[in-house]
Amino acid sequence: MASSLPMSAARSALDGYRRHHAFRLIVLVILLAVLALLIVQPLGWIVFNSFHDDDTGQWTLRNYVQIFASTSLWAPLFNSLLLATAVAVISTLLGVPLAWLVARTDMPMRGFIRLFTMAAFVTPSFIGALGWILLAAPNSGWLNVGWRVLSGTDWPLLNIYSMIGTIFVCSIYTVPYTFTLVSSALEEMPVELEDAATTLGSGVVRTMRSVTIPLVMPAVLVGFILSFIQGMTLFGVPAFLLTPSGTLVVTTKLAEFYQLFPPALYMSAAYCMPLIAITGMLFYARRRILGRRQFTTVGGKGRAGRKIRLRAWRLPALAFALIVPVTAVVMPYIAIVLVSLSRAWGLGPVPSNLTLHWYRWAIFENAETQRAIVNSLVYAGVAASFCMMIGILVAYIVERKLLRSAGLLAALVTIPIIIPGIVLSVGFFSAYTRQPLNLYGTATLIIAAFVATFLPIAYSQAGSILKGISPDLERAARSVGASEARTFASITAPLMRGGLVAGWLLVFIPIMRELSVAIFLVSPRTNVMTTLIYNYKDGGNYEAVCAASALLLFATLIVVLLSRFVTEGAAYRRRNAASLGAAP
Amino acid sequence: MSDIDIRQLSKSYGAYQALKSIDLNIPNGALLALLGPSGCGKSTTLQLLAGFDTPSGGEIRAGGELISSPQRVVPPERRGISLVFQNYAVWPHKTVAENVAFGLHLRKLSRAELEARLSKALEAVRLTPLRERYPFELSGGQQQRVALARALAVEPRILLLDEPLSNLDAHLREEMRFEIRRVHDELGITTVYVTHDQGEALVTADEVAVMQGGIVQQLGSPEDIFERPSNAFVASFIGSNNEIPGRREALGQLRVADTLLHAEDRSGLPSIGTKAVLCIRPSRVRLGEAGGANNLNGVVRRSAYLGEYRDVLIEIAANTTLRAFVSPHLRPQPGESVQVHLPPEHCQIFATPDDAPAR
Repeated sequence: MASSLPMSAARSALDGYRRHHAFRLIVLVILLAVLALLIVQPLGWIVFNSFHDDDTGQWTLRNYVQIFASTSLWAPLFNSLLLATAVAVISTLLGVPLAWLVARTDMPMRGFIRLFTMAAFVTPSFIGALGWILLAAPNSGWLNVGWRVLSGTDWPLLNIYSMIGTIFVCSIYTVPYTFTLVSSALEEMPVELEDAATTLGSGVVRTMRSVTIPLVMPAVLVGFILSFIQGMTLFGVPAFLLTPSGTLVVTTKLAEFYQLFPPALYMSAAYCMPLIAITGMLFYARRRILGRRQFTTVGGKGRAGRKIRLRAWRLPALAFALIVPVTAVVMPYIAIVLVSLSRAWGLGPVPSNLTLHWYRWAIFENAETQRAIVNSLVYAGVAASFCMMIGILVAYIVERKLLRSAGLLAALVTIPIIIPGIVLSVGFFSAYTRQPLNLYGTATLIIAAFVATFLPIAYSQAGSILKGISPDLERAARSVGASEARTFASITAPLMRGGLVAGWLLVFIPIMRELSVAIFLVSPRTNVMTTLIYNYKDGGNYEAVCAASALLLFATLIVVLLSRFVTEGAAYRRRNAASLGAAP
Repeated sequence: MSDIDIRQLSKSYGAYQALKSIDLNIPNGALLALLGPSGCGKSTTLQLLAGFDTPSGGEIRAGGELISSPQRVVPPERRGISLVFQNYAVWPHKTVAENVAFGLHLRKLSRAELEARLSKALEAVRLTPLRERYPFELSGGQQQRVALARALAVEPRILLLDEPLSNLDAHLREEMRFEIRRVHDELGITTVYVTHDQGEALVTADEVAVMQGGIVQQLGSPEDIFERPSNAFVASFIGSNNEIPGRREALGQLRVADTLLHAEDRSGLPSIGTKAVLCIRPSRVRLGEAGGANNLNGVVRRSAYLGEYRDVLIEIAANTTLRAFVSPHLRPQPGESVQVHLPPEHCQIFATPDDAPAR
């Protein structure tokens, strides 16, 4: 029986061999070129610039010397460390008990608390800060106004424009990180591990001390580290709450360099380095912790464990658990929505003051907001698609060990995880606002920066989807005559589909709410929602700012709901596929 | 169709040598089983044959054409070699017909020819009534048939089967052995069948290559490797076996404690007085008085009733036991003294396996 593939002659086999390798080479070259432009080039410019003098343009170490010599430069560093430490401690103290209460006890309203903690997760923290300005600004904040009326005094109860206020706002929006990590560790831990201790005669407290806590400890540590990094790298919250009182942190100090004329490009590059060093070290620590003992232990089936009965403590526990949902979501959302519906927020939320004017203005009348809404959606859509494409390609090469240089590719796409958004913004500004590639004012510049920032998420998403697809399914296609590319298109891609949509949304959502990456790169024509809100806030038109913020929150929430819907569908399909095709 | 010629093929992963220079020639249309315990190198051989891996040394030729060498590996899709996987690897997003037709679509056949070959492949594995089903609607055995039909539909010159039955339950496994042999007889495709199950190898294969430690220990017909194993490893891996350690006193004579046993000497050992083992199948061991040589006294240590026979463990010297499968009607009791007869025509002497576990 003659095979219908022309392979009897040795020449055609050799030909196939050559074509196969030529294709791989082309893919690799394109991929490396794209990654060089997105990652190596911007970071390279930061390093290069940091050794140059802003005034003379000569090579120098002066920038680095100045960081430690000048009070105005090291004070922000100190403030950032203070903020980060406080945020990490508070998020851990709030997030770990919250996770335990939701995952392991019979506290009431667990579903509500989980949902609202996740809502805090997707809320851009600078919009939260905006909400808290409305609530607790020393003079006009509603809580302070109410306090003055009630107490008859004239001093403010709360002052959000302070280090404590900033720590508070950063913390409530960072708790979800710790919460998610610890609660999933608790849920994935097989009940049998705890039962085994119980059957050996160990009581509830003893079991928690000897089994439960050690098993979730890595998750707690990683949560602490991620919270610390959040505290170090957040830009919007300190810009809103600390800058007015003249207190600067590293990120806001970086922004200040750009407001000078001419911008202190080279100094700002050097000033990025301590930030990169700290986040780099912390991510390395996180990797070590996760590498040594994975906290997803022996094949957890996710069987619902017995709930610990809180008895008399149920209501006190609930009061504690409501802190984050109420302060991070309920109160600021209400404030923002009410202000956005007011003619003038100073008049208070009374019926005569209600209007839809600002929404009409934002959507139909004001060209700037219209353009920003369109830009946000388009940029996020395009960037998320490119991000996933690169992420899938690299993950595929790495997971299937297609190329010897797979490790290099994986390292390249993971690097941005240690680069704070504001630093990437500095890098892209340095690299692409000069000849030969002057992209200033173009959408390409902003989309490219978004792609670079979220590559690590896209890559890890794609990797975890691919891990669920047995390589034998692909090999089966190869062995009946499909090329690598054809196999990917006919077998791998369709099997990934459900996961891909969810992964795409997981990149799309954070791009929609990203502020710091875009901040130095936007021009009036390329403003996105977040940068526009940031700029409007300076103008003090709170009603307009709130309407724009509400629109952004609304758009994000719709996308989140959509993603939940799609993810659940994908999980269902994956279960089906896994029972057939998963590696033994 | 074509023959396969494997010459001095080796494969190392870092310092670990998975395959230490194997030579195999599989004639056109033959079915060869690669049999061995896990880690013996059989799966590595298969991966190299399929083109998913690059050899460290040696070469593979199919129909005279060089398809694998350290310098060049023809990609899997250009080899005309189909592979059936242990976990079936049936595509969950395609129906039975779509799974089987996938390879045919790649060949740009006319509609009529595609349909003809699809029907033929489905027919060969008796799946025609299930052609519109999705894999999750099929049993394990049916999925296995889909995988087989998919591999056969493209009319490969070589078919590779990687532990194709190990995920099936015992009953189905036995049935599928004959099924695979039947399909092979029908189509006559050169086939390499990897398995750790000797039953599968003996039933399906024309020739069996027993592998261990990255080396082919013996290549021969199923009868050969059972009746005339080339060393103690093969003897013990195929079927049940007794390995009785002793000292070789002369060609064909082995001293065990104070008894001199006679056997066919296949050890190839040059010197007398070295350690060696005597191998005999438990089913060939006799209990009770018998004339001539090879009679031993022993004490029954354990006796287990297995329905078709009785499995008796007898201590014949300090730290030396042997198993005998005897008629279930005999009822030797633990502690009872018995006479054991080892018929010399069923006894073979081999060199002591260096890496055999102590028993």
